[in-house]
Order: sequence, then structure tokens, then C-alpha cells
Amino acid sequence: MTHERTLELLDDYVEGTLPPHDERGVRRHLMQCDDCRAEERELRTLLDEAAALPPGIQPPVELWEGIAARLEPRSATVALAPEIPVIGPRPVRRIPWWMQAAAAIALVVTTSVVTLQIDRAGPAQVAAVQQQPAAQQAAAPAARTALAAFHPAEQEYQRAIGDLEQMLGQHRDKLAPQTVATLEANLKVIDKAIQESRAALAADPNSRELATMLSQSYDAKLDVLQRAVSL
Amino acid sequence: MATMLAENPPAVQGTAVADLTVRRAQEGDATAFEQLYRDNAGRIYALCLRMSGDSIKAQELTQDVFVRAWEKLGTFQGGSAFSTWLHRLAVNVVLGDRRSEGVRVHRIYCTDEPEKFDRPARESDPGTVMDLERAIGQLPPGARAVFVLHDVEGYRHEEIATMQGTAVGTCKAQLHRARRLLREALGR
Amino acid sequence: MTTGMRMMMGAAAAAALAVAQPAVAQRQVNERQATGATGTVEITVPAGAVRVTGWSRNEVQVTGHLSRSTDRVQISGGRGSMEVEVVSGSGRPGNATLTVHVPAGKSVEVQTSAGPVHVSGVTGDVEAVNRGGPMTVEGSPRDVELTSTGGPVTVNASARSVSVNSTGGPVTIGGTVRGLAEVNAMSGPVTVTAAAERVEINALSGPVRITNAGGPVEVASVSGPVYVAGRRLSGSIENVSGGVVVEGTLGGGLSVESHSGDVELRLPAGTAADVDVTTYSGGFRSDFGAGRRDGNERHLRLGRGGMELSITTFSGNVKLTRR
Repeated sequence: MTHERTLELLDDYVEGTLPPHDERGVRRHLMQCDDCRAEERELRTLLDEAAALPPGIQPPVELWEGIAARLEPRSATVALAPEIPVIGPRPVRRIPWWMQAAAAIALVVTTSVVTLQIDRAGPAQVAAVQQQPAAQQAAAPAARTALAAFHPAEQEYQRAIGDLEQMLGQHRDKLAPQTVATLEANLKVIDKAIQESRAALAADPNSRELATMLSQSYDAKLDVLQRAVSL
Repeated sequence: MATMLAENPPAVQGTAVADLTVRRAQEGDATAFEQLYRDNAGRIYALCLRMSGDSIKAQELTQDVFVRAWEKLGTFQGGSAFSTWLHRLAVNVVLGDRRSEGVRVHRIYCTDEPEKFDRPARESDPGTVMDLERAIGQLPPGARAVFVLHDVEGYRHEEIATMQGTAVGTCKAQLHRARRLLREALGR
Repeated sequence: MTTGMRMMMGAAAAAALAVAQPAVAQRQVNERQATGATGTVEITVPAGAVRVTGWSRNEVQVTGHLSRSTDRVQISGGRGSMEVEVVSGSGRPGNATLTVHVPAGKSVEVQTSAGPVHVSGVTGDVEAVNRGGPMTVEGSPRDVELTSTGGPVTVNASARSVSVNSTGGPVTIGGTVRGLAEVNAMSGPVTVTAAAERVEINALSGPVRITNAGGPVEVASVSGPVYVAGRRLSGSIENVSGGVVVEGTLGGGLSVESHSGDVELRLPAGTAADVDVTTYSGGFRSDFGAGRRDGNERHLRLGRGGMELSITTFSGNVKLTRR
């Protein structure tokens, strides 16, 4: 996905409302683009701050007198049957599965303490970029291997996968047995791909191609799990 | 993970007491209605203040909201929490006001006496909050309304579009603009 | 007497007839109601077969039979929105076999939990949800949205857009799709033979076959093989183990990825593209020359270059074939 397109889709991405292939495209671009990742982080910071604004602000002056003066006296305009509950228990906002899934996946890129930076143009070299939460970006072109640099990203993947698997576990008895069988067979195929890419990367820890392939296999697994929990 | 998901207008109350208070107000008891005002004034005033970007205007709007609520109380059926119903009504009053005024002269609510706003204490850095509130107040009206409704109050685009009588696409574009302007204003 | 009045009397007479009939195991239905040329007709049948056909008259007509004498068909609404529903005097309604004629310009929403759904001759939107049994849409609808948890889904139409969600059973889209043809499927094969402006497929194990794409294509699958043919192709195609074959002309950047599946691109002789092939342990064969090798990567310029084509596999073989 291009830089411009990613920025266009970022609003929907952080809300988790993108269709799967766009979501995947944005996620991948974010893994590779510092500018877009900074953009995403700032957007999320703003949204966190907005959501954390105090829900109530007391009016600076007493307003009730003014209101009371304008109230027309009236008797009951409706006679409610006593059994009608005027206020029920506070409705608990149900978080749809897909949204939880989107949130879990967002972890992969947002809370990433270390991100994998792959220099596309340069020689096969991987730089690990340590990011403190407050976004001080001290680019350390350390001579770490691709495997070592991928390790933190992998932990993020595994955490997101763990979250999704847990959600799926709670919800799988609602799925048709055949659907569960299809899901499991395909997850096995992906797990095999992850194992193969991982073993190859361990044997050739400097290969950025293998690190990318491994991350693609993890992406595939996230996609399938995300679809499964949204069924 | 839960913090990512803005709560829909949370109910301030939900007890049997509130239930009774609403019913008494529906029967014409102004004292009960005053109690409802006390319970909800902060939330409604905050909405009006952020949507209008103007303290004086927000006071007028808050009064209008409660007068309207009194008039329309008979239509409240208890399908949702009273505070949710009231919040929705307030949004409609504020949006209706904006429409009837057309392009309004924009007054910045934040004067040189910020303490006048008597804001409740907050645990996190009050400087940041004030900055964000101030920046929201300086947004163009359309973008401001969408930002407050979507990002602060947690309404969905579809709901906002319906309330405003605009397309979802327009609403999204306004939100995008609001977020960009806010980040610029906050120097990020 | 106006047509509307006549129709209302007709409906009343039909209802009276239905009531007058003795309680037999099956109950015939023949009801009608006048309506406008546009708007929406919602059809809800708890179980059974529904056939919806657009016609040139501004009325909704329901014919067929109900398996239980206590069930009846209820038509409500007016010029714009109409609802047709099978309701029961007691408990859950039984099976229904209904043919519903609607003004051709209406949009149609069908809900049923079992039994076939067939929609044809409607030029509005078509939306159907079916928990079992086949679904078929024909004619020239605007936007088609079908959700199925079982049974084949077939669209053979000239539509603006088609979106299918299926957890089982084959999905087939033929005809013409002027906008997006979109399929989310779990296990059944997905076949898009329609001339489609844009195609997006998400599948797991069913084979994906697109034969007449005319632009951007996004395909993600896990274990099913993927075949994409068309003109001005661009976009991305990914799977894990099934293999990918792409055939046709390019219209923009295209990326193809497979972990262990073989990838073959069949390109015309005049193709102009810059190709990057990355494979860890897969073989490479090319009718366009071997290109320049750089570790696990290979760069080839086809013709004067330009469009970016990237192919990545872990262990799958890569083949570039000249058509």
C-alpha cells in the first residue's frame, strides 16, 4: 500500500472499520514506514485524550432559576403503566467481536516497543529502532540480526494471536462443526508456514526477506483469526 | 483494549431512585425535575460548551435543553436510560440552534479568566486538557460538532449523519479535518 | 372505480376466501396489494422456498401455499416500504412455498432460514439472508448483498455491485459487475466469471477462480489454489499453500505471494514491467530471461519496464511464462 493511501485510510484503520485487505495493507505499510507510524501514534494520542476529557463540566453560574422560570406548569401528560420500567438497568454496550479483534490487532503496531525497520533500497541490513512510549525515536543502526530485530514484533504478534484465540475459544461452540474443522485445518497450514519461515530465519538470521515472509505468515494467521471471531 | 472504545453516552444514574424521579417529573413535579437537572447539568453543559465553543452560548443552550426536556418528558418511554435520552435531545437542540443561526460569529469561549470555567479537578495533566479544550473551541463549527460527537461522546458516524441530516462521507471528512486542525493547533 | 380500490377489494376478497376455506393441511395463498414503483419490499419467511420476480405492475402479489392452516401471509406498508411476512396464529410458522411478484424498480430484502431463494427481474437492490438452501439472483439488479450459512450462492446478472458472504457451499458470480464483486467465503469454491471492474475475494480452503477481471484484484486465501485471469490486472494475490496462477495483461502494480504454493504468471509477449522475484528455496523458470540475481532476490525488466510486479514465495516455485 502507498504512503498516501495509508494516510487516507488511517482514520478508519484506528477505528477498526476497514475491510480486511485494506486493514492488512495499512498494517503492513505501518510496519515499514516511520512517518505513517508517527502519524498513527499521534492520532491515537489525540483520540485517547479526547476520550479522557471529563464527561461533565459544571456550569459557571446557576442556571436552574432561568430554567424554572420558563417551565410551563403541567399535569402528567402521559399516564405510564406502573409495570413499564422508566429506566431499565444501564445497557451494557456490547463490543462486537470484530471490534475486539481489531483492537487486538492494533496492538501489533501501536504498542510496539520495538519495530522492525527494513531498508528496502539498501543492502540486506536490518536496523532495530527502539521507541520509548513517548515516541523518542533514537534510530540505532545497530548491527543486530533480522532475527533479533524481529523478536519484539513477534512477541506482539503472539500476544495479538493469543487474544484472538481466547476470543475464539469463548465463541467457538456457536460455530458449525464443519466451520471449526475448516478453520483448524487452515490454521494448521499457516502454523506450518510460520514454523518453516522461523526455522529458516534462525538458520539465516540476517535475511530480511525471511523476516518479511515470517511477518506475512503471522499476518495470514491474524487475518484468519479475525475472520473467525467475527463469524 | 477497553480504553480504545469510547463508551456511548454513559448513564449518570440507573437506580430505582432515578426511575421514580423521572416518573414524578413526568407527572408534573418541578422539584423532581430540578433533581434531574442537578444530576445531568454537568454533562449537558459540557456537551453544549464543546459543541458551541462559547461559554455564554453554552449556558443558554443548557437552559434550552432542559426546557425542551420538560416539554417532551411525556415522550420518554424508558426504552433507554433517561440520561441517554436527554443527551440525544441536547445534541438535537444544539444542532438545531446551529442550523437556525446559520453562520454564527465565532466567539472563543476561553477568555483571560480560565478559572471562571470552574472545571472539576482532573488527575492527568490539566495543561494538556485545557489545551485540547481550547483547541476544540477554536475549530470551525461543523468540524467541531463532529469531533465532539464522535471522538468525545462516542456517537457513530451513521448516528451523527442522521442527526445532522448529512451524508456519512461528509461526516467523515469533517472529522478528518477536525483531527488535523486539532493536531496542528496542539503543535503536533 | 380506481385501480387501487379494485385491488383493495380484490385483496379483501382473497382474504375472505382464505378464511372461508376449511382447515386443510395446506393452505393456498393468493394475496395482492397496490404499492409504488420504487422503495423496498421486505420478505420474511421463517422456513421454505421464496421466488421473487419483478414485473411491470405497481402491485405486490403473493401466491403459493403454506404448510399449516394456522399460518397466513401478512402484507403491510404502503407506496414506499412494504413488508410481506409469514405469520402464525400459534407458535412458529411452518414451511411456506411462495412466489412474490414485486414492481421491478423495488429493492428487495429476503430473509429465510431454510429453503431456496430465487430473485429475478428486479432493478433495485437485492439483499438476502439465508441460513440454508441455495440462493440465486438473476436479471439487472443494482447492488446485490447475499449472506448464506450454507448452500450454493449463484449470481448471474448485470449488477452494479455484488457482495457475498458465505460460510459454506460454492459461490459463483457470472454476468457483469460494473463496480466491486466481493466474496467472503470459508470453504466452498469461489468462481467469478463475471466481467468485473474490481474483485475482492477472501477465502480459506476453497479454490478461487476469477476468469474475467478488468482491473484491481485483491485475493487472500490460505490453502485453496488461486487462478486469476483478465485484462489490466493489478492489486495483490496471496495464499499460503495452494499456489497461484495469473494470466493476462497488467494495468498497474501487482504483488503475488505464496508460502509453499507454486506461482505462475502467464504474460503476453509485449509486457512492460519491472519484476522482483523473491524466493527462499523455490525454483525459478522464466521465458523472459533470468534477470539479475541479488541474494534471494531477482530483478527482471520486461520490455521497457514500468509496472511493478512482485512475486514472493518461501518454498514455492516461480514461473514466468510467455503466452
